[in-house]
Amino acid sequence: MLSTTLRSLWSHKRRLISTCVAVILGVAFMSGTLVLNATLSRVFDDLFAEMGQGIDAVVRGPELFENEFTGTVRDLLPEDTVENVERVPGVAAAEGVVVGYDSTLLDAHGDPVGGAGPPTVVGSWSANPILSSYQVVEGRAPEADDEVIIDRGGVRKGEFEVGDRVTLINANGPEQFTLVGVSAFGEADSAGGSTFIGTTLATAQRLQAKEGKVDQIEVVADEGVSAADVVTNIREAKVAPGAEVITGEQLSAETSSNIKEGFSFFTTALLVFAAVALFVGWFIISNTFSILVAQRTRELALLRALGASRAQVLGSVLLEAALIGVFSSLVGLIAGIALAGGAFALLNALGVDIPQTSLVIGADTAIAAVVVGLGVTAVAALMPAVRATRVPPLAALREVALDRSGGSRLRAGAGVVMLVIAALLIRPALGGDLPSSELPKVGLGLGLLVIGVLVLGPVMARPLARVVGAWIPLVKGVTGTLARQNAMRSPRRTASTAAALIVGVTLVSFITVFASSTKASIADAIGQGFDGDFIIQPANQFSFQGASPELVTDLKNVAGVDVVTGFGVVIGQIQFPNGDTTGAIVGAADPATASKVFTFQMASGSVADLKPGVIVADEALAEERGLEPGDTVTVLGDTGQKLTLTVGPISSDPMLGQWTITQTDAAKLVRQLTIAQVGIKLDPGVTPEAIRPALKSQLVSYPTMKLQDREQFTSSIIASITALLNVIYGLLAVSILIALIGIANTLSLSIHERTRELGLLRAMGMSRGQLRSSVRWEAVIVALMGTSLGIVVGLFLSWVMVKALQSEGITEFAVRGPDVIMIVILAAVFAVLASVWPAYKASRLAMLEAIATE
Amino acid sequence: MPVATTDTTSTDPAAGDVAARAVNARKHYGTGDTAVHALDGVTVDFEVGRFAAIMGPSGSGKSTLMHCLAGLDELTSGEVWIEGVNLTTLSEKELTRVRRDRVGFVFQAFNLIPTLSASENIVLPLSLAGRSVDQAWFDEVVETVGLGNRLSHRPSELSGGQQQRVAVARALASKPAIIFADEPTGNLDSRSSAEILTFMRRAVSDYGQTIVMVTHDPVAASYADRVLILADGNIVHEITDPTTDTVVDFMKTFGE
Ligand SMILES: Nc1ncnc2c1ncn2[C@@H]1O[C@H](COP(=O)(O)OP(=O)(O)OP(=O)(O)O)[C@@H](O)[C@H]1O
Ligand SMILES: [Mg+2]
Repeated sequence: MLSTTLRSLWSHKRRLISTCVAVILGVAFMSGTLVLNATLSRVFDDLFAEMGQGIDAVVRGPELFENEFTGTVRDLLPEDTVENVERVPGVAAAEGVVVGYDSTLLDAHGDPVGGAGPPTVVGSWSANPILSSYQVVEGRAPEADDEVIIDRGGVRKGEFEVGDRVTLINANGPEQFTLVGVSAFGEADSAGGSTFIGTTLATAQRLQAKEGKVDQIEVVADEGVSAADVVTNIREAKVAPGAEVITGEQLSAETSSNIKEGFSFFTTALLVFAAVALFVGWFIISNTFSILVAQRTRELALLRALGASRAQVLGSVLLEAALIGVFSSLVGLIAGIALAGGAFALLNALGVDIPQTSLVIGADTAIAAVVVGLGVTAVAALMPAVRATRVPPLAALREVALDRSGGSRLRAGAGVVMLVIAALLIRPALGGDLPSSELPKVGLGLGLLVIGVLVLGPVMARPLARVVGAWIPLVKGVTGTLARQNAMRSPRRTASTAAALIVGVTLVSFITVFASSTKASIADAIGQGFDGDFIIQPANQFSFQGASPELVTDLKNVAGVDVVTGFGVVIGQIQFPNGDTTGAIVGAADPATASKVFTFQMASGSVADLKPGVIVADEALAEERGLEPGDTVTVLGDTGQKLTLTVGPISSDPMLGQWTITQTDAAKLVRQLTIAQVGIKLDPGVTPEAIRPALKSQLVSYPTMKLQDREQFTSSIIASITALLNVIYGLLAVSILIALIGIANTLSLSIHERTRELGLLRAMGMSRGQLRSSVRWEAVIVALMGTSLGIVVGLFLSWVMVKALQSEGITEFAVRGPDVIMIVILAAVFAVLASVWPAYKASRLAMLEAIATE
Repeated sequence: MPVATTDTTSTDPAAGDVAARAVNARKHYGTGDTAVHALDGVTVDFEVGRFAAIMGPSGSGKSTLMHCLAGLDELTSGEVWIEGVNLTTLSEKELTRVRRDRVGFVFQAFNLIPTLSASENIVLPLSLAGRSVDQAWFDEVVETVGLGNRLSHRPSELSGGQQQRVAVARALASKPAIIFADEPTGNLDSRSSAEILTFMRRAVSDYGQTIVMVTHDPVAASYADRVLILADGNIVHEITDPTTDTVVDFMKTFGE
């Protein structure tokens, strides 16, 4: 049987190309992500292993809390702990280290170095070469408190030379330092593209408000003493209350795994898109095999008549699928590796200089690629293969009938049941005010809805093609009629071709409408809530770096300014009355001024009621946690300070975030309160344009902060959503591409099947142009079917999501007509492109061969 | 080689006299020793308003001759004319137009487009040309071939005989200069055959349609005005006003 299979594979190899391409694209996407992930992991493991080299033990403060945004927050150690550690037996050297991430280095032109890329690190420079992962390569180490040493990467980006004065912006404003040296991270210019600025310990402490404290103490053990032993010794010596002691290796592993966790979200997201691509590919594979089996009915029947068993027929079809699966997976794997290589080149080009490492291609990646590729192909081919076994030997003698079968009653029933269950799951969301614990159920309902629609596809294909294509015969005459009839003639085939597109278009229109609804909601919220004229916030929205509270005072003193209000941020932990805790970002407002610049939507109370000792909670959160005004919660800050606050006003305004406290309270919770956002209201009669230069001049010291008028503020939020949207479109493009390959593929296979008919049409005087046009319109009908269903489902999905997320501040359901029309037009245009090759082939058919009777 | 036609000198037959004409038509497949001479210098005229049958042993070149006359295939050398147009000089586009506007076809089987209804199949060449249907003529044709209540049916819902009637109706509907029918009754029982042949005969007698039909059946041939016998790519004999008997007699003497 193997040789028959191989021969049959070879004989229709061209018809399998697109199936292979579908599998290859999906597998490449997946294995590319896996390779990227494995390589990045290796990069970070190496990086931190290098950093930790020579360090035998690390002593650090007790854990305060976990925060999902910044990771574990620890208490500091008193600086005199260093001396305690030095006295422990087996310790050769110990050194206190202070590291912070809240500074910005300005380059020679006064612009921030690094931007939104890898962080800028300010740390105490270690005099001990064993402990330091950086070495001086030029100049010397900092000795005075106004001296710094910067890594070669930072010096290059900043265009500095040793001896230059460099500006560092810290929480309390800009400060000048003298560059006395250049360092290197082992062989590399920098640690993974970050910028390291070494200062004296005293300076690092002062800049980060850690006077008399250290973040951690790094220890070198005596010759002959193992890391484990020195750790045990230090633990037993109880150098500081609650101090934690681990080996240097453990620290490296921990830091590395924290970073890896950070990008695992990214990996997961990419894998989801790869899964979508494979899911779409599945329809195409299944369709190809169905058609191949249909076309080979006679051959299979003859085999059966000659004595082949059902199992043999099944085996031969599945074997064919398996061979394609393995072949495509391997090609996909290679393509994926190339893709990952490209991604690294791109990252490097974008300035994220990742240390030179060869790509890590693990056995698990290779196995996953083959298993998934093979699995998808084999499972997709299973149904057609089973259908092949049902070919009766007698079929060899009969004329092959058209497969008009569409929906069996079973299929229709199953589809309807799915839709009903989906409706039940979705219903609670439509009432609005959905508790977020119910969201997963709604999500499940939406997923089921999509699957239900796909299951019903073959049942709906005929009527839908009739409706969608109704206008085509009117415009295109008989070629249009033929196109429409051909689109309707095999509902199952049409449905699965369209299904691939439905999935892609559903996601595209869902994302589009969801994003435009979010934009509309934000614009709406800002329109209603912001009464001021200017906003100042970090140019990089993901940064927590802000400005000193002095900025607020300085701005207030500008002539023409009426009110200035600043918002700070506290990274902390909230403890509920029942003892539960959660990491939180707590906003710090000045109630007196805040309510003059913003009108916040409140469920109860007013921001003006906020005073020290009071906390404003978000409505949805309060409901979820069962908080009522008058309840108390405890807020823990990174200083280790705890404040017990009374829940006062309840907010329903997305601008306020989850928690808000006064700046007076906030100042107790953090070492330095920084202002992350400033709202400015002008005196009546002062135009924003007139005052802009005066405000800008106040920002000279804060180049990371951006002054935005109302318009710019709204559009900057919208721009960031648009940017995200474009990334998602890019990722979905792979799925859409596969769907279009599917259309081209089904058309080619169908045309192959209709050879005789096409020959007849040509004999009857159909011109090549007319024939091409009829194939093209057939593609357009299939595409319109997939697109219109996809849009309807996508719109419904986003409508449900908008309803469900009402309490999260998404209040507007905004469908932009141009968006929808654009999607339809693009689908039609791409369908026409997909039909070019099949149409060309159809028009070039050898007419006489086509009509010659067998 | 015996040539059975007259008037081989005219190379520009006036329309109205001759519907189709082949002049020294040669069609070779392959080269060298293995070359097949499907047509070996055929010269023949088909006069307007006449019903011609072509007979001959299998492989004698009957289908090839028809395909070349109809512009479905190209000659290796020689010329083919339809209504005064020399097909050998035409481009692919122009040939398509000739087929659509001036030629009708009836094949032995698979004559119809399965996705179109009977009436849509009948008007297909007209629709392709973007021409409007002459309703009176359409009704008359449908009436003649007796399809009245079957017009909205799909081919798969029609019997073989009914399908062939639709095919004949289609060939008639566009009033072509000439209809080529390649064994139109080859797959039918004698009764259905007789019906189809009667329609074809009526089309010639009543409406002046020109028809060329290939057949292996002496009975079918007897409906024609003349029978041409083809052998090894040449016309070797002609029987005018044939009857079943004269055709059968000739076939016997021709000896296969
Ligand atoms: N495409 C082709 N390639 C090679 N030879 C061909 C081709 N088409 C036809 N022939 C040869 O040309 C000759 C004439 O074929 P043709 O089909 O015209 O015969 P026919 O008289 O119609 O026979 P039948 O009665 O069996 O239909 C035959 O010998 C055939 O083998
Ligand atoms: Mg023949």
